[in-house]
Amino acid sequence: MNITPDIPQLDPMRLQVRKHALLNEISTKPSRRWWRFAVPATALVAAVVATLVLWTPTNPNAYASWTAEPRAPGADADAAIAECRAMIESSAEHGGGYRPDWPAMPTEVSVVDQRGIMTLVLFTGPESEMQCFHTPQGHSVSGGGTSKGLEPLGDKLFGSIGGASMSTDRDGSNPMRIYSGMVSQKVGKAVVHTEDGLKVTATIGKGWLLAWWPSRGDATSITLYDHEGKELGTQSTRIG
Amino acid sequence: MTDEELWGQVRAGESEAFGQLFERHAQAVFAYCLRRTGVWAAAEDLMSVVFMETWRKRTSVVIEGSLLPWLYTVALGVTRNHQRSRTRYRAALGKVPPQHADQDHADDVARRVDAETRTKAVIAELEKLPAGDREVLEMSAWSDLSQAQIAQVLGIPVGTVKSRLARAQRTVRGALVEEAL
Repeated sequence: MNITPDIPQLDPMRLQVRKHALLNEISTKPSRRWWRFAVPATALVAAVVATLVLWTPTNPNAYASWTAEPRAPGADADAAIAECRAMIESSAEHGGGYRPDWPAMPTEVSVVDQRGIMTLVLFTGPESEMQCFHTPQGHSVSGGGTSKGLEPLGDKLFGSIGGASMSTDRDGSNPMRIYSGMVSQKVGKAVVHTEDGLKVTATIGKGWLLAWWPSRGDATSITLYDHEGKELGTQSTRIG
Repeated sequence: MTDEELWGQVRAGESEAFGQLFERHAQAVFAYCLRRTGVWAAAEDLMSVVFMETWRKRTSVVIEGSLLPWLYTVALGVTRNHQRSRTRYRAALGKVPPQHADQDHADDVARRVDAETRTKAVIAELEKLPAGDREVLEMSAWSDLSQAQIAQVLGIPVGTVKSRLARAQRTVRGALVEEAL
């Protein structure tokens, strides 16, 4: 058996169809991924209904109350975590029926990032990770199986999972970026720099970091500090 | 025109240049996706996803020489997260016109089935390897990338590429043809 099995050439006509579909797609306006904000990534009907009821996609209060520095964990964190966990567990219960190969839902609360009225919780597990967005107006979860096959950091100080994801409301307003990744135990503080000049202090916990900011500006670099505040270095967050 | 020159146009938003890069590299990306998934239709979709994601990231990606190392980086990610990616891109992929049955000749179907059968047999052997070793071996066998480029794609040191490759080769030797390694 050859490790490099022969792969037939794609049919030229089929390739052209794919190409034109691609060019048509990219020539249209950017897709509005409000559903990432409003709909659980597992696309479960029950969760969708719950989310749409609880969470109005446009959430200017969360947007307006954002701060570059996370606030100290408040008394509201526990209730937010409990509600997020309930939604994830509900997704897990319904998910098996729809997608037998969907990875096991994460159960570990790794980071709780609180800015203004928004509590952003990162749940991690051996096969998947999920972010829960929680405000007094409602909550939703989004995530997937990116943790599956993820390698330990080793000697590295930081490793992102796919860069900063972006979400907007249905009409494209209120864009926000969410950035998460694995971080070494040596790191006590991390500041994410964005294309539009923001310097966002991430929240760190249990080997993970988490941050969000209210703009379309992608992350460009991240500066890491040790627990004494000494700078460990700045590394690009761009891939390639 | 080189990949770098075309990519410069792509970064400026020129979709025609991106179309040229698609024609140049689509087959390589498709082959990689098919060898990773063993499913023809999924590999075609994933190929499209790779290029969509590459377009989305165009302003933040700088390439030197060929675009292929970057495409393999994206392809590795989307094949890792096959299920999730299909969900994210379902709407866009749904716009690809379906292949008409009258074009689907028996020879063509047989060709696909043969390719899937061959690929799945290899995947079954490779699944015996740890994920890290497997990805290094696959990238080494299925792409023309140097070990330094593979290290860049996988985000690991070159020394790790070498050690994993050696270990993977020892493990699968016998089950898979050696000269291909």
